[in-house]
Amino acid sequence: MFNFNVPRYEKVVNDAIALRPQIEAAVDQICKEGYSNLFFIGCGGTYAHSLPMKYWMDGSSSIDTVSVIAAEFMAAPPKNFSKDSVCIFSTRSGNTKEIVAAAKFCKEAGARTIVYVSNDNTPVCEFADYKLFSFAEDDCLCEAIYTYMITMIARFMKNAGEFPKYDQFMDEYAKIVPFLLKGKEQYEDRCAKMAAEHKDTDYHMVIGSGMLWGEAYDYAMCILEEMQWIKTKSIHAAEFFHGTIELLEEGTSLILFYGEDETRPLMDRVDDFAERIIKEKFGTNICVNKFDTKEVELPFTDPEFRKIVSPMVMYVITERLSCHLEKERNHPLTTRRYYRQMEY
Amino acid sequence: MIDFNEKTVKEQADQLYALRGELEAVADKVCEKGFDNILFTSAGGSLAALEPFAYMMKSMSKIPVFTEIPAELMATDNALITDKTVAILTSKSGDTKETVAAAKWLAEKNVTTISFCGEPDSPLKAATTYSVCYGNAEPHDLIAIFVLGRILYNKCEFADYPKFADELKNLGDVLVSVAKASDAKGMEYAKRFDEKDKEYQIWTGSGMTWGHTYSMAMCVLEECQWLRTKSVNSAEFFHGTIELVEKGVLVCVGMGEGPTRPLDERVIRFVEKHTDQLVVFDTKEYEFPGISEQFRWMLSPVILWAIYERAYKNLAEIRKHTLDIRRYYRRLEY
Repeated sequence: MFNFNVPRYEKVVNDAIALRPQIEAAVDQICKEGYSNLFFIGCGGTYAHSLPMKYWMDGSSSIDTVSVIAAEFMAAPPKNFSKDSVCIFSTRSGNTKEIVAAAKFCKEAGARTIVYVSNDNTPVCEFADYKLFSFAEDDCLCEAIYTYMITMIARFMKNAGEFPKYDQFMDEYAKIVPFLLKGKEQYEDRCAKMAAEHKDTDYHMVIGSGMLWGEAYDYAMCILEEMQWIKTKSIHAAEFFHGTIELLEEGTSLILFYGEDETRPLMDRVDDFAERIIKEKFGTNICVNKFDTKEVELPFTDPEFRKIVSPMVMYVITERLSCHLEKERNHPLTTRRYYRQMEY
Repeated sequence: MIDFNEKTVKEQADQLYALRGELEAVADKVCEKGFDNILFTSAGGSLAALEPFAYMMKSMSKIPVFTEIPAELMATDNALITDKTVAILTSKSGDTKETVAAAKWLAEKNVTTISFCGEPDSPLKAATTYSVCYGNAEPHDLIAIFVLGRILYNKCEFADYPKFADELKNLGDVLVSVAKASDAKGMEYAKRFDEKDKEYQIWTGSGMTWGHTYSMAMCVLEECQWLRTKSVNSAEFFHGTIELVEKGVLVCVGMGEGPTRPLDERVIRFVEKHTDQLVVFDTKEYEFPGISEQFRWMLSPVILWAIYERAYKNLAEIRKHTLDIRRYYRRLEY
């Protein structure tokens, strides 16, 4: 695979998987003490990755879960936030301003804080009641964050009597790395071709739903916009029909993120409209590219488990596109005009 | 002023106020029966218009509130939605497919449902426990305030609600005053499209006014003007979209007077240094005659929309692209 270090990748993901006993101890302790609700507090990517966790909980658990943007949380903490809340954070650098401020606030309010961090001994650590540390960098950060969040949520649900297959799930999850690598390989050539075809495309719509909405939002904003300076619209598959649809013209690029939850028909509806209906009625050709987690083999015996990891699998395969876009467009993924380049 | 009728605006606002009693009675019935949480669900712009209420409830009340896209609501079956849930749904036509389907789905779960429709005897009305027809009343986005404000009042979480509701008698005057005062701002925005079309624009907003800014981008600029937009929360703007800002890129900031105002101000401070194309729509620049200072933030969304209306009406005129043409919506089955 182009520009990809397999041993490094294996180490990062397996290190995150190895956090399991620490996560279990933290969650068990919290459950023993009791809690009123869970707050995922994030910004940018870490906010986006919490959305599928909330989606999963909403459909499967009676635990009250909130997913909120850190700065909005700080501007006006919701009334149902209290010392009995559990606040969940992730940060690669450990010094993301909004995250540090929110973790400090939550801890001082007497709520319990759980923080995943990829760099130890950073400012956020001081405000973590439970710190989960494992090293990761941008291109594999998401696997570490999802591993942490999925393990944690699964444990909360198990303790609430809502996930009896917890042990089976976690044991199988521990074997996931080679499957993720295979998924990347499966998408390697397709992504290379797509990147070459789209090196000059200046606008993409990225569409997702259900467990994959957060990933569509993230890929558009944190990869295409931030790391490639390409204009995007991320739009939910159901919302697409209430406005954005009118922008479809000859050659418009649509990137569809297919997952494996109940909302797949919403994606099919977009696909059918863009690829068939509009062509039949108007002769307009839309450029549709699909990423589908269903194509990736996973180590699970229960098909239900696939849905849980689908957002991570999406990140795994789309990373190949980012990598090839970087090459084709001669635009390093690390270049920023502004972010962390200046105070604002 | 293009496409503006003072008399109509006042009459429609009075029609909205006239529904107060009927709406408060619904709130009282719901409270009498008791409930655990409140769900907001509707399709597209209607859901975006309900967002401020969800935000307001979260910051004023301990009652758990959720907002859900109808299709996702039905697909996932949120475990917290039970027969002790109150759901609020709106549809101007009263026949929006997804919203009606959600109402029927909720009815099967014995959820108490409240709908607001522009048309009488609509399918949505038939599918909900309580339904209020608002006819031509405007701004219909505000209608839920008389239900939710009263619920908060009943729960001892909004003691000044009666005073606030009384002041809404003045809403027509406020809207007329704001429209007149903001037409120049709308023109300033529209004129940026005078010579050549801007191919793309960024819109930001936060908290109470985020929903209306999302709608302005999607339901007006994309749907009715076929212009590409990116709408992004003011806090999230810094985590990606920021990198697209450069000279010539149009950035619009919609600001209200709620607690997240500093997040919008931060966007402005940054953007004004990096592009020559910044337009700020700010409710604070305008007088709200007859409304107490303490209530202004709650009216931010509808007032901001009145300001946006001047912007898009002027825009449609300048671009010679009327607001009612569609390539696809409701023209094809999908």
